[in-house]
Amino acid sequence: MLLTFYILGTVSVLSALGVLVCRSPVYSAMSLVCSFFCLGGIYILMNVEFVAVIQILVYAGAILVLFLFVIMLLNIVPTGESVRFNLPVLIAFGIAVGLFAQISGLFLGDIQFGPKDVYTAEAISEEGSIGLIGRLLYGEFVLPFEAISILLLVAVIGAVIIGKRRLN
Amino acid sequence: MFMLPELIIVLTAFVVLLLDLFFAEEQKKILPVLALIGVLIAMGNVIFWMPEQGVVFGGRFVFDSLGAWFKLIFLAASGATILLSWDRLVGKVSDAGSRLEHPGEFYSILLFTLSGMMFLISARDLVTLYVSLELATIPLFVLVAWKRENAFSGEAGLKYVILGILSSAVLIYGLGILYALGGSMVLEEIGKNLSPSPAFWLATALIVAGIGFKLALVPFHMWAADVYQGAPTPITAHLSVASKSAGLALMFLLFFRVLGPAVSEWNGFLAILATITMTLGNGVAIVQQNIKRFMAFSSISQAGYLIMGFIGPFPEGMPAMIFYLLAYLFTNLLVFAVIVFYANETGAEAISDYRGLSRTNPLMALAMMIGLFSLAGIPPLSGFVGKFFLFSVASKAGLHWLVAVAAVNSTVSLYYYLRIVRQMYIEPAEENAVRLPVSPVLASTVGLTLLGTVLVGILPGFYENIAQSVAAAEWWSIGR
Repeated sequence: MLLTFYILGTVSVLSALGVLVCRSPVYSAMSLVCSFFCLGGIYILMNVEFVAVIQILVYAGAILVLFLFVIMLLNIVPTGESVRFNLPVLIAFGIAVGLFAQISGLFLGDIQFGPKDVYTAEAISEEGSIGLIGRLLYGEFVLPFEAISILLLVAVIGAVIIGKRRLN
Repeated sequence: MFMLPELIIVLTAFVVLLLDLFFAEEQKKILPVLALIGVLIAMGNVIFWMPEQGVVFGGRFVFDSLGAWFKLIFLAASGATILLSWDRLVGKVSDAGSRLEHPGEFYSILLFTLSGMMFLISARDLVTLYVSLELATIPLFVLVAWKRENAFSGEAGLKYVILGILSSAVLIYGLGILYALGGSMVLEEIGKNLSPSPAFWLATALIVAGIGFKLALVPFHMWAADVYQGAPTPITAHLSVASKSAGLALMFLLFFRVLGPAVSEWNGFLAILATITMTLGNGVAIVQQNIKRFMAFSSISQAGYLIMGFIGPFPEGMPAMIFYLLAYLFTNLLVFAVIVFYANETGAEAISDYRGLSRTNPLMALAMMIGLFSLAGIPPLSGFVGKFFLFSVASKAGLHWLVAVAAVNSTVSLYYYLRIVRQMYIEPAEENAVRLPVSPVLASTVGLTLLGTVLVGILPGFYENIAQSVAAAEWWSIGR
């Protein structure tokens, strides 16, 4: 179990680095798929199968295919420029490392993370995550759920307005 | 049914969108009327419910009198944006570059962002809060890039999208840590469970950075000038008023309902943030040549004054902040109404283009002067009264140096606001300058906002009414 986690974790971090380092956008996109699949595996290890399936279906399936389509349609060629280490990049790197150290420091402390109200880990494993997510989505959180549908409509209208070819 | 105002706005947006499909070009002129009617009905509804409190969806959506004030401000700002963009969308402008297309989509997207802002102030859990925040911001990206054939507008849209997404990412990182620490989605519960720890401070820092982007506080203000300049001018007005109020609503919810009980002393930090924001905004505004960039930096410094309302013993600063927001709403929209009028007729955006406006259009120049004086805080206009209340909040909290800094900044701001007045009144008009025609819609917008700018400062009822609403609203984080 632990070994699987380490393997998946290492591969996902390496492929995430690959997204940044690869010069060809297609390679970057494929590295991203690899990273997403590893994350899906980690989710399965955590017993949240629904999130894992969604991760594979939505991210690795739908979004990445969209990325690849855009890359192919726009016919993007590799620029040949690699990341240069000038001052802004170094500052950004420093901030990122600091943030990473901060966040990893959090998990080393003795803070109790996780839900403290009705939805504890036991309650989730009792009912199963899919049933619980469905019940919450259409019960308690129906307002944000409906708000997201409006948001998607706005996104569609906006994409049409900005992307539409001019008629004259 | 306490969600009725939001539902009316969403319904109006759908009606406008659908009717746009069936209308001929000529008939589309009534779309802004419909949008405006929806906003007015929702306003009446909010005022009708105002004294009451109500809970919908088991506490996920709360209507209280304090939220009602915020909703009125959002509604008024969006109503004014509808008026400001009216002429541009129906094609009644002399300057072809100022025309905007697709009125149906424009107004429905504007109303959708309005509904997001209204859901935001009523949200009481992290998911609703974040989703309504996105519903308020994402439509704005589209509106900023509306004139996509214009390079500035496209660039502004792209910058706004990238930095907006970045700030959302930073914010949701902070919210995620808050959820992990508090163990609940409900703001009240998180507030009770929090205690200062390194993780808590990290979450606070990320949340402040996220809010700082939304509010354009220094040092998170880099996007403001380019976005304000590139966006269509009515949308610039909307960004500087409605979007800023939504950012304050978000800050208010997160600071007072969640972070409040755990943070015993943040006055010093907020005072520093307010100081650098107003000082840098003012300092850079002095050298601006483009009036929209100028207003961007002016609004950054105004945000510096506004966050002074979060200082001091809770919730005493709140009435002062909401009152100043109300004054700022009318004042800033008044100035923008004149800017929109001038751009509609001439397409000019440089400050030097305003020379001699008092000879050709004396009434418009007078309205602009009153608006600028109110922004600078000259008595008896509403901007002065608002600043007076805000400064007294800082003074009560014992931060006398902040009052001094803010007063000096107000004086400096008078200098650059007077630059425009000088162009309008002292510089001679061009030889062949003629009187520019004022459309009835813009004339009434200027009239209404002018009335607001003057009356909010003079009528005594506003501040007391707001203070009563704040006192009546339910507070979970009283223990602060």
